[in-house]
Amino acid sequence: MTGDLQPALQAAGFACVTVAAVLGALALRRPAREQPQVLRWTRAGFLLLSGALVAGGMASWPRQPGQQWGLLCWLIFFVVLHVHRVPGFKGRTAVLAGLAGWALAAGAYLGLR
Amino acid sequence: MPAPAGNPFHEHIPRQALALAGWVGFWAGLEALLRAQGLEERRQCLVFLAALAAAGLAALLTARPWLFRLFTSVRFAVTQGVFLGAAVALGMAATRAGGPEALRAEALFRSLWFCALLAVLAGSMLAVTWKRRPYNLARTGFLLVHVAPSLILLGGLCRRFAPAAGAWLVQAGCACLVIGCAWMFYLKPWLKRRESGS
Repeated sequence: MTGDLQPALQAAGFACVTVAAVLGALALRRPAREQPQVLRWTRAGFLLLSGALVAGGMASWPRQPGQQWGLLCWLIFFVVLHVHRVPGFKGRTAVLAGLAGWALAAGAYLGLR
Repeated sequence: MPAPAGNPFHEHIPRQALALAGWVGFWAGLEALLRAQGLEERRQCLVFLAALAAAGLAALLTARPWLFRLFTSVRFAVTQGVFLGAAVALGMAATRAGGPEALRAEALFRSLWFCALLAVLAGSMLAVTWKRRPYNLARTGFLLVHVAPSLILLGGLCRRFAPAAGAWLVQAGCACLVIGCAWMFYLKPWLKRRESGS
């Protein structure tokens, strides 16, 4: 069960942060309108990626490349969510950090394949 | 050790990154030294815990307000996240490219320097948990999320001595993380909306 659940949660989490990245790219042009949505989708993705860590059996450190990628994504979006809370970084910088985080996660996935 | 007033350390990400690099270097050096002495992994872990406790105690006695400001700074959390992410990426790349054994993911996650980074993260989270007292129902999620890394680190260290208990602690930490996130992101706003509605 966990073997199927973990990739599913990872995929759902990554889909959410992809939506956040698309909205983030739009938010660079229309900041006020899209930014709350960016944070909402990033949070949903982070929650699903956290669920993937649990489903992947964090009882041992991640051994499979897929599990390691899940942990990396989780750390990337941990940083992105905290950047949204730094007073000087709110707004455009936080959105750019989200886009950079998404690019890193996607790059790491492509590197694994 | 007070930081300069105009450019406080707890808000200065590059200087925090340098300090973390020094922290990692110290633990990597100590680990190499212990390995050269022929100490097995469990004993290395005991030395790690004793040295960490001594460092924590010394820091608490000499620089408490400064350290508390640093550990509760969001910028420091960002720096730590970047460091941990870089460490995991390094482990993945070394495993994939057949790099040095010590840098491969399996060895990296068990290394003392990675545990030392996790210890700083756990210490930070506990400091933030302390700062945000008192807790009510709406803040329970925040409490769970910020206690989770300590449980995960404790479980990771405990697993070397009692595998079943360690695994249980890690799972409990992960469960706290998921429940806490769901609470913070969805239940807390709902509770707030309900309060303001009534």
